[in-house]
Amino acid sequence: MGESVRAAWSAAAGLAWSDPARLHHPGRTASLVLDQARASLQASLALADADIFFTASTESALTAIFERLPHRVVVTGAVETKITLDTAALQASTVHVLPVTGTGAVDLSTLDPSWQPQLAVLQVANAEVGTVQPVEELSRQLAGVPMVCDVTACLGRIVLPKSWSVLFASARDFGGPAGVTIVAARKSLGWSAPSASERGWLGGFPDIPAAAAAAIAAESLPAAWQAEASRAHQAIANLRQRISDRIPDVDLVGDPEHRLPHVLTFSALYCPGEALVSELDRAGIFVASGSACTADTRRPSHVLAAMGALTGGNLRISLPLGFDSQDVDRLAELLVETIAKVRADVGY
Amino acid sequence: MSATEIPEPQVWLDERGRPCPLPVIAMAKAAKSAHGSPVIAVLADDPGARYDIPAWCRMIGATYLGEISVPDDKGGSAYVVQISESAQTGASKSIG
Repeated sequence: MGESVRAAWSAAAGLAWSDPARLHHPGRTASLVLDQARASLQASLALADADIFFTASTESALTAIFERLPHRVVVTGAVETKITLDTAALQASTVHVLPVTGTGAVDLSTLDPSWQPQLAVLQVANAEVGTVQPVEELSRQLAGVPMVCDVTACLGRIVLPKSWSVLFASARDFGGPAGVTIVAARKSLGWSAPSASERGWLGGFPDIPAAAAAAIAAESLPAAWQAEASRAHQAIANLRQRISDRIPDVDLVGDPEHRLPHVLTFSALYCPGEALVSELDRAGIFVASGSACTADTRRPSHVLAAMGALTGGNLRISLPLGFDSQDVDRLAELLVETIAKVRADVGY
Repeated sequence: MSATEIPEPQVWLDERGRPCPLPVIAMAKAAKSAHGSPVIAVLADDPGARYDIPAWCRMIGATYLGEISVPDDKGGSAYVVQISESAQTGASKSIG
């Protein structure tokens, strides 16, 4: 959370602590703050054609979305988040999970016209490996079926496809606080009349400071984001090339071109992921990993597994907005040294 | 390939109780010192091995033949690989 977001949270916490459903003065103030946050998000994210809702988590967002749309038969993809796959399995009678190709994009050749789904759930891009999904093409093939799209890691990074019916993203993903997820639904779905008690908050008591802070975070997304995205795309392309040139036995994961601009995931043979993360952590670089040894569940990332990618020795690098390209150069050198050291340590 | 079609391994590596990447390293070392195109099985209970032995095959140019049950009662799985001539040079390629 940046300073301005933290300040907005604090101000809203002081002002909008009451129940927005109440008609007394503090209640009306609370509902006004929530309404303003919704309007602000609509403007910042250029979603004039959509109604904005807030909810506490991705899980409650998906549950609320499923409640409002026919969902007995659902089509989704193998690299959706675990929360998405688990919620679909819980809510729908039948879920068809499309497998992915080696680059992690859903394989539309496996779509069976006899399924007749009522709902499709497909992320715009995979936040773990970066690969952009064929949302427009799936929508075209499903002709008229509502599309629910996870836009985590996509806002202010890539152009969104036009064929979505509902979008959702955790605010933490674009610099907002934890504890609030944004849902945008096309006005044509007719969800636009929140009850007085909801005021746009789906399920449970509204966390208005979090909603206000999320709106400020969205306002802070740079207006000229395409230039930054282009810079990130090139920096990641360069980093991919350097890794390919300098480090042997590496599996560069995900589509090299049709991807989120700022994400790179790769796996190194003969390296424990845990050791790589620790070594880089000691050098001040915070990376994530999809390897089994770094997961609480002690299972490898289902995304990597679905793609047939190497799961051991996996690192995910994510460039923040405004990154310094010298830091990327430093990272490249550090990766070369670190992987060599970790391999030697483990006896390869 | 079904379990009944997987040829009998000529070499068995027992890497049970060893965490990643040790099973893959054992396979790679066995491949480097192999002659001809042997069938090698690595026994592993590391959760990544199921994905990483096939991925190693793709990257190195070996052939993943499948998973078979282990012929003793210590548990784990056996992942069966056929080494080709090119696998012995250690050259590798990735998908992306």
